Order: sequence, then structure tokens, then C-alpha cells
Amino acid sequence: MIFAHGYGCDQNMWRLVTPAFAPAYQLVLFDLVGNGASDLTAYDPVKYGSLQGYVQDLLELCAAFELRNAIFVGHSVSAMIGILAAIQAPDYFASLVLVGPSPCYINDGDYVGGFARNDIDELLDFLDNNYLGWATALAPVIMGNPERPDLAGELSNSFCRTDPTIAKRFGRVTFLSDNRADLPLLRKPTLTLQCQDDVIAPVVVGEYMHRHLADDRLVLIDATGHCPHLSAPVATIGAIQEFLSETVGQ
Amino acid sequence: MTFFTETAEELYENAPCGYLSTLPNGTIVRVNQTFLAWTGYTRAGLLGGKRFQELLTTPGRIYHDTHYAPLLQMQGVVNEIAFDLRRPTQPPLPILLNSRLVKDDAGTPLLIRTTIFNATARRQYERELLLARRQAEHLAAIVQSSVDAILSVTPDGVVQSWNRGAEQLFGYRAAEAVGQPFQSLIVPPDRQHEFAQMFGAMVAGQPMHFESVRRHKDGRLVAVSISLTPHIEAPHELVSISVILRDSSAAKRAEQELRRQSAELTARNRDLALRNAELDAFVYSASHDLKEPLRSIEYYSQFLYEDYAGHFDGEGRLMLQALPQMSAHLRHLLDTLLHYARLGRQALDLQPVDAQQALDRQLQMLQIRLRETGATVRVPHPLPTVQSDPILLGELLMNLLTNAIKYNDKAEKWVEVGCVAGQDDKVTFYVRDNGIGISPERQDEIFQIFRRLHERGAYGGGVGAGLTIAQQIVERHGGRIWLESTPTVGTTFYFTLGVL
Repeated sequence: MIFAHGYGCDQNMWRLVTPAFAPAYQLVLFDLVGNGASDLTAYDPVKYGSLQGYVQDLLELCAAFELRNAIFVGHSVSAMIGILAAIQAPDYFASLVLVGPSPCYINDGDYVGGFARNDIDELLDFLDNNYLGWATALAPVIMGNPERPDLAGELSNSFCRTDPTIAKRFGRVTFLSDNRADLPLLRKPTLTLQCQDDVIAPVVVGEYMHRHLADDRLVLIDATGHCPHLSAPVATIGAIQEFLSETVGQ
Repeated sequence: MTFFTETAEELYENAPCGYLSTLPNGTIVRVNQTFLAWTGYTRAGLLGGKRFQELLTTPGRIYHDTHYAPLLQMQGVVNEIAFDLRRPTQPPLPILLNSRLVKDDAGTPLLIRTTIFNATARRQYERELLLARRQAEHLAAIVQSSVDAILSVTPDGVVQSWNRGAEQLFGYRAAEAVGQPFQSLIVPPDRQHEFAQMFGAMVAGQPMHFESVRRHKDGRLVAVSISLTPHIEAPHELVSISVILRDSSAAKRAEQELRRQSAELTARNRDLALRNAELDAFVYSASHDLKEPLRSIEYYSQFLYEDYAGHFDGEGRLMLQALPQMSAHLRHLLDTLLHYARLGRQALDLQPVDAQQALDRQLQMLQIRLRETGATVRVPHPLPTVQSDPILLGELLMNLLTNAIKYNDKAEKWVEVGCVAGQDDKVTFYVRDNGIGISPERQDEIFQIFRRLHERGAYGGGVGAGLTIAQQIVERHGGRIWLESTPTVGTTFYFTLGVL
């Protein structure tokens, strides 16, 4: 099972869910480049200027681990990254679990994504107010002598903190992506886990996913917010287990 | 002494910050008076199932769900998150909040306690800081990529920053240079005093600019133009010094090359003047020294012929007769050569000269010859005034006229002198005759010195230098001389005097 975290934080988001699957499966967890403990020097703004950069990384991971018939679990934008990877290299994957997915966040005609374009611009602006203690935010620019505040322990926000420039870029890439046309191209069984009350991936979007994926099950989870694997881990585990037993051998 | 007792209730409700308690899903269960006062909400309005995240602006809502909530869930604590709180009748309030997740003994989340600070002024300050930082980053990028070496040093001379231009000019990478005293890095021993000398000006806040020499990492010296700009915080409180160094070796090299070429030119000129003087001396002594023995030969041959002709037989007498003639001819050649050599060197006395008057003067001198030969000279239009050397112009006309008259075998000889409008508005003079003409293949030859196309005695003799001198005069004036000729019909010589 390969777990891909979504926009905002890192692989630690899965820690309430992964113990349930550790006995039966080999687990692969990773941080997207630019997030968590990933090597920030590997962040190439051109490569990661679109989701394809992340798709490429995922495929490289699959090749490195020689995955075959893996179960991909992706949250938020990583759900789409997984879908794109499974379209491009189907042999790696057996099925996909999509947690709070959305193929497009911006309203477009009849399509309800949930946001207007300027909401995204405001978000990127908003990010300037919240560096979560990112050290270079305090470094004098010209002198080149960073004065690092002493950050230690779990109170350091490290799970969700990253270089503010990267955070903005990733935010832009995530919320301005439009992969609606890719959905019908996927030929794998999928589970769409939809939160009851998710502003970022609202129920209408989940329903849209369900309609346009070839072989999808839509499960509503009674959870507020966008991260059921954190706020409702039991329900999340249950839904995934049921999906896996249903699709095993396919 | 009175004690002022504060109840927990008072402390809570009227705290200098807002207090908010919510269920894990965000439902507000408790809120203090300060919060209500800041936002304008009523307690009833908030406690009817409203969730905290609904009070946030859209971007805040996204951030709440992607960052705040996961952090709180994973850490149990979140500090200093900035949000904007929507308000019923006012614009959103910028806030900063801290949250604590309260769990039961089993670890199940029970409650979220949040403290809220009004961050209006602070948000404004942060925005300005961010803007200033962006501008600084922009400038820093310009500095970094500049071709000039730009560095900053502390008042003690320790390098604080070192741009790419400095890396290239001095060979030290930034990591090697920062933190080092710049004196030891790039200042050669004989220039170490400069910094101390400049220091007074630096403290006074006065920028300095000077030329000097610095040293590359590999030891070679680099000529540089240096600009120092002090940064003063308070009067006489020197914080740092910006140093811009520009490689002046290219400019220096160009200057040196210029000086070298100038010196070379001066030397050559001196050389030339020397040679001219030598030539002068040569010509003078040649004419003087050659003429002396020549005169003796003439004298003695004349004497021989007059007094001793009787002692010689017929053939001997013929030879005796030829001697003085030949030596006279030699003297004539020598004089012409001298004249020609002097002509090339003397300064032109340029002035407006009435060419008609000049012509008349020459014709005056030719009167006898004209009568002897029966030649006529006609001038259809009066000649204009031209900028020229009057003596040389006269000689030029004389040479062309005498040639025109000499090389003519017609019964009725005539010469016509006039001018036509030439190219570039240059006046083109012509001297036309109905003489014997010159065949095309010999037309270049005739300008060669001492070249005559005829036997020595034919057509009135002459040394064959007339046209050479004419060409020399024309060219000294920056002009051109050429001809058109048809054998047996006649010849026209054209010339311009460049200086109009």
C-alpha cells in the first residue's frame, strides 16, 4: 500500500490509519518533494509547476520499490496524482483509494468545484501570514547570516511547515489544476471517501468523481473537515478495509 | 489596604484576549465577553451550533482544514496562527490564535480551547515588513548578479557579503570570503594603509572614490576603481561600509595602448622630420657640391674650345664643341632635379589667386616665343579666382603652355586655356592645343621625370621635366591632372586644384 499525503502537511497525517494495515501489507509512505522532511533542494519550480512533476516522482517510487498491484491511497490533490499515475502506468496499481479528492477546485460553468478564482489568489496571499515558524522568514536578507530561532520538539509544526515559496507554488499548482478530463481514462477500481462536511472537496465534487470514474464506490464519512484519516480514523479504516476485501483478486 | 478580588468568571469574561471553546468538530460551546465585543457577535448567535471555522474567511477556511486542524490533531497544540474573523457589521478582524486540544484519559479529543489576540496593528506591520523584504530581495538579486564586485564590510573590515562579481574578480567564493578581514583577502601589502586613511571619511558619512590595486586569490594584481559608501545609523555611528570594485584594467590597458601609440607616432614624426632634414641637406650638398666640379668642367671645356681648338683635328674639334653643350645640359638637369625636390617639400602659400591674372603674366613672359612660333593663345572666358599658391600656379601654367607650343607642327598653332564645371563643383582647368598629340600607350610615360618621347634635340629640346613638375604642383594642391589626346590632332590637359 502506498500512501500519498495531500496539500498542507506530510506523511504523518496517516499515522492513525496505517497501523491497521501494517500487519497485512507492505506500507510505503513518502513526503511530496517540497513538503515534510523531503529534500528541498530537489524542488524544481519548473518540474513541479504542474502535477505531472509529482506523478513522475510517484512512478519513480513505484519503479524503485518494484511495486506490482499496489493499492494507492491518496489524499486531496494526491488522489489526482495517483489517478494520473495509474493512467500512465497501470501495471503498478491494483486499485486506488481517493480520500477527499477533487479533479478541479474552481467553479466552471455548471461545474461546482467550490471556489472562485480570486479565492485561490486570496489563499496564496493568506499564506504570507502563516509561515508556521519557518526559519528563513526571520533571516536578514542581505547579510546572509540567518538567525535561527530555537525550534525543537513536536511543537515545531514540522508536519505542516515548509518553505513559504514552495508552499505558495504547491498551493497554486493544487488549486488551479483541472483534471476532470482524465477521470474517464482510469481503468482501475476506486474508492472515493467523501467527508460529509468538507469545504475543500464538497459532496457535489465527490459525486462528480463518482459519476466520471469507470469503476468507483462512493462512501460518505461522517466527519467535519477535509482529513477524515485524522478526524475519523476508525470510519476511514473501515471503509478502506471493506473496499479492499471487495476488490481483492480483481 | 483594600484587596481587589477577582473571580475566575471576571478573569475569563473580561480577559484582555478572546476566549473560545469548541468541540473537536468546531462547534462553539463557550465564548467570552471580550470576543463578543471585538467581533460584534451575540452569545446567542454563536452558541446555536455555529462552528468556529464558519467565522473564517474563505482562504482561512482552507488553511484551517489543511493545516490548523491536522496540526492540532497531531500535536495537540497550535500556536500563533493568523486568521481573519468575519464580523456581522464590520470588515474582517485580523487575529492571531493559540489552540489546545483537550483529550480524555483514553486520548479521545474532547474540546478545543482557543485564545484569540487582536492582531490588527501587527498584521499591518508584518505586511510592511514583507514588502520591504521583497524589495530588499529584489535589490539583493541585482547586487548578487552584478558584474562589478559588490561587498559589504563591518567597520572593522570583516566581509559581511560578497556577490558573484566579487567571486569572479577575486577568485574567492562567498563562503570563503564572508567572515574574513578583507585586508588579508584582497589588499596587497603596499595598499594596506588605504582603509585606515579612508576611515575618517567613512565615519563622517562621506562616500569615497579612488583608483587602486587589489589582489586575486591566485596572487595576481588587479587594477580597480573603488567606491566606498558608509552606512551611518546615528551621527558617527558607522554600521557597515559598502564597497564596489570595478576592474579598471581594460580601461588602463586601453589608456596604455593609446599612450604607446602616441609615443610611437611622435617618434615616427621625429624620424620623418629627421629624414626630411637629411634629404634637404643631401639635395643642397648634392647640388652645391656637384655644381662646383660641373662648373669647372664647363669652364675648362669652354676654355679648351675657345683657345685650343686649333690644336685639334676636325673630329677632335667636334668633340670639343659637344663638351660644353653636354655639361650645360647636365647642369640644367641638376637644377631641375633640385627644383623638383624642393617643390615637394616647400610649404604652399595658399591664397585666393586670380587665375586670369596669373595666366596673363605667363603669356607676357612668352611673348617673344609666341611671336617666333606664330602661335595664338585664346581664352574664351576669363579664368576664375582659385585658392592656390600663386608662384606655383604660374609655373604650372607656364609648363603646360610651353609644351602646347613646343609639341606642335601645324602651320597655324593655337592654344586654348579655359575651365569647365567638373565633378563636385571643382573647377577644372584645361589647356588645349592642336599639336602632335600623344598616343594612348605613352600617355602615362610622359609624367615620368626626364622622360621625353622624342630625341634630345627634337621639338625644341628640353629635359622632359615640365609635366612631372606640373603633376607635382597639382598634387601638392590636392588636385588631379589628366589628359585627352589624339595623335596628329591635338591634346587637352585638364587639371583641378583640390583646394577650391
